[in-house]
Amino acid sequence: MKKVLTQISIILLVLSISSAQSNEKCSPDFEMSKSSIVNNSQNDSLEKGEVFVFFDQSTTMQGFTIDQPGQENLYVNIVDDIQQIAENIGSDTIYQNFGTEINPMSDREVAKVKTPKFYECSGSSVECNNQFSSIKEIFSIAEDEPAATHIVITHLNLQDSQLLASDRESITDPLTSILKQGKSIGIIGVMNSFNGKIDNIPLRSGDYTEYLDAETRPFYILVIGNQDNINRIKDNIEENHFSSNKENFKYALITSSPILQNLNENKLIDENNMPTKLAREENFNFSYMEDYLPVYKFTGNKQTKLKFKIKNNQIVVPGSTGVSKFSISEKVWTTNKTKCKDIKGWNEANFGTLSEITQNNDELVIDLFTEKPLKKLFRGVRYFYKIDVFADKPGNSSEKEFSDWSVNSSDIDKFTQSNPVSFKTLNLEKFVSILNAVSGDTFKKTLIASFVVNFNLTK
Amino acid sequence: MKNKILSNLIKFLLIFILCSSTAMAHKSKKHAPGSDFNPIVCIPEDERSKSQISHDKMVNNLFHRLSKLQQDCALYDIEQLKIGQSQLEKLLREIEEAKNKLEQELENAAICGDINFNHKSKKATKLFVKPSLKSEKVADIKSGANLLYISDSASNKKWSFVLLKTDKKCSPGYIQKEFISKKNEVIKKAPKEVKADLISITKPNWTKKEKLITVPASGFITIKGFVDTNKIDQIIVNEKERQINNDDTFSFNIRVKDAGSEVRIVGNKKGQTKKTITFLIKVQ
Repeated sequence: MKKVLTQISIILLVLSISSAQSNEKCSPDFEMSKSSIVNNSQNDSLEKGEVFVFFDQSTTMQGFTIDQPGQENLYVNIVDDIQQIAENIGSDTIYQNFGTEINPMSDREVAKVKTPKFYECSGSSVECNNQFSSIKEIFSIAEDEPAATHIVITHLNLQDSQLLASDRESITDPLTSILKQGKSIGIIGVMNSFNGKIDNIPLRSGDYTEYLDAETRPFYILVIGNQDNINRIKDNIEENHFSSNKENFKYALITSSPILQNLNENKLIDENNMPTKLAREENFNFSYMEDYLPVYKFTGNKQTKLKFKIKNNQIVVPGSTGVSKFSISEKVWTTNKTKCKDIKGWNEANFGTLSEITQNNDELVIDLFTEKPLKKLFRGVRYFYKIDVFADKPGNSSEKEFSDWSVNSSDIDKFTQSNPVSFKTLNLEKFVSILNAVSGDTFKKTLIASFVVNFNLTK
Repeated sequence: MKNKILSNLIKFLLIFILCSSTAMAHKSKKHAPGSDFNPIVCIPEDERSKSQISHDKMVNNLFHRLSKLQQDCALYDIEQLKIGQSQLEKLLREIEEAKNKLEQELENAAICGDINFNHKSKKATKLFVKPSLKSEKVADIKSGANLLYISDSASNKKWSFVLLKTDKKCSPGYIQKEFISKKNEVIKKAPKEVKADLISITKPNWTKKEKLITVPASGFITIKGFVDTNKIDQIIVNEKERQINNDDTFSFNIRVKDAGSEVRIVGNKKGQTKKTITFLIKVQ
């Protein structure tokens, strides 16, 4: 008898505790999803780091320093700008030249970079055969000096062999390490006048040829470092030289996360993310729960339209690969008490997929209750519908950005024979795609926004 | 008496005529060179008149001989052949003389078989004296022929001045740029004296062998070297393993700080240390 009484008292105690906790529950119990986004521009110390500047000293680079009649030469001015920015963003700026090897540069040599003399090679034909951009060495140095910003000015001529097997790993391995440390790689492309020789053009026969008739050709500025410095360099060049016409300017950002921010953390979700009509619904209220989760509260009917929109520029890092796939995670709780004070508890419901997510050039649209319309839901019930929006897979917009300046090794023979005035860059698209693939591997599914619609569905 | 005088006069005239006949066969400007007769004129068969052709046939058929016109043409042909032969003989003599002169010049020229020919021809083409297709041809170039690229033409960007390698001799001349292609990069082999060491640094140069290297500025620098792969199978630079290439070379980048940097290279064979070099790199 004593045992039975003890059991009854325990049950009553448990029930009394649970009922006490469920008093006036305007929202169900759930764990708040938090973002894992590391803001690349904020995770660096405020101290200026070192800046390493690498000038490609291949003889072909000379073509950028010699004016071509009728074509605009920006190389000299941009190199000058880069030297100035490097001095500004870094505590110490260290200059090197590179070809088949890397060498430190004295101040006198740095001053010569803008002149054709700097690119002249007085060594033997073997020593001067330095047309391959030895970019893997720079990535290796960037891996060893992760706190520094590395700026590379190059024509970026990459042979197939440099993008295969061990040479490819010499690029991807340090790059993975760089991206994992929260650093990014900016590729700034400038179509410039060219008056010189383009060497080492691979032919189908396996031999190499040269081309002399190019009047324009792109050169590239690769910046490895934090996004703030990359953007500063990019903005400076863009504003100084391409403010009116961006035809000869291209930019891509390779980063482990092309996601700019979590909208909840910065409280960027408001009433305007939903249709304006919603604010006119009965008992409409918009507020943040726990200063993090936006809740749209209203009394709706089967006619209520619910479309949640996010502008792409709020979530995607400008110039980055972008996001090719988004997804949503949905959770629904219901209660038959419509007034908050009457609600004692919520029941988690399983309606399956309710909404759909689509993306266009400008915005991300979450069309609520398209899969299961409101008219199919129970009337006279209060719903608490929480949606988490995730970026699932990085895109490839940066590859597309450079595609029209790129030529594959299989096409370059034919391209050269067509006597082009503007010469494309060998394997550029392939190089950017390798960088993107690495950034894709380091990408993690990221929560970009969470919100709730808490509504009473009337008859 | 009258008859006697007349008879004597006739005799005198006859003797005079007979004697003066040689004097009448005088030299003329119209004569063929080196002869006492007028140049033979040949009337080709298709230019002969009907009567001339019928006369030729008659002489051929009746007397089984050539007509006068036919003889003239035959003689004319022989004469022309003689002229051609002498001209050819003269040309041959000139060529022989030029050949002898060139051979003499080539004997004094440097033999270029010892040069690395870094380019080759993509297709069969020609080597020219000037950067123009209209200029004189120097030589025929076979597809894949070895070329030493010297310089681009200053006047015509599409042409390059090269040395064409044929056996041990080189022919300088101009070739259209589109026919030149680069050979694969030549791997520089280790000099014998360098390979004698187990580990050798070849670039940059030692300021003090295996002790000190000085560089013009601070920053990253590529250090290149060779190893004797018979005795060393692993290279470790500042505690990080570096790759030994197929040609026994190795390279690594090192940062030289303003205060200088120390480099420690360890060479192992089957895990056992065979050689260690520790040196400083300083900024000048």
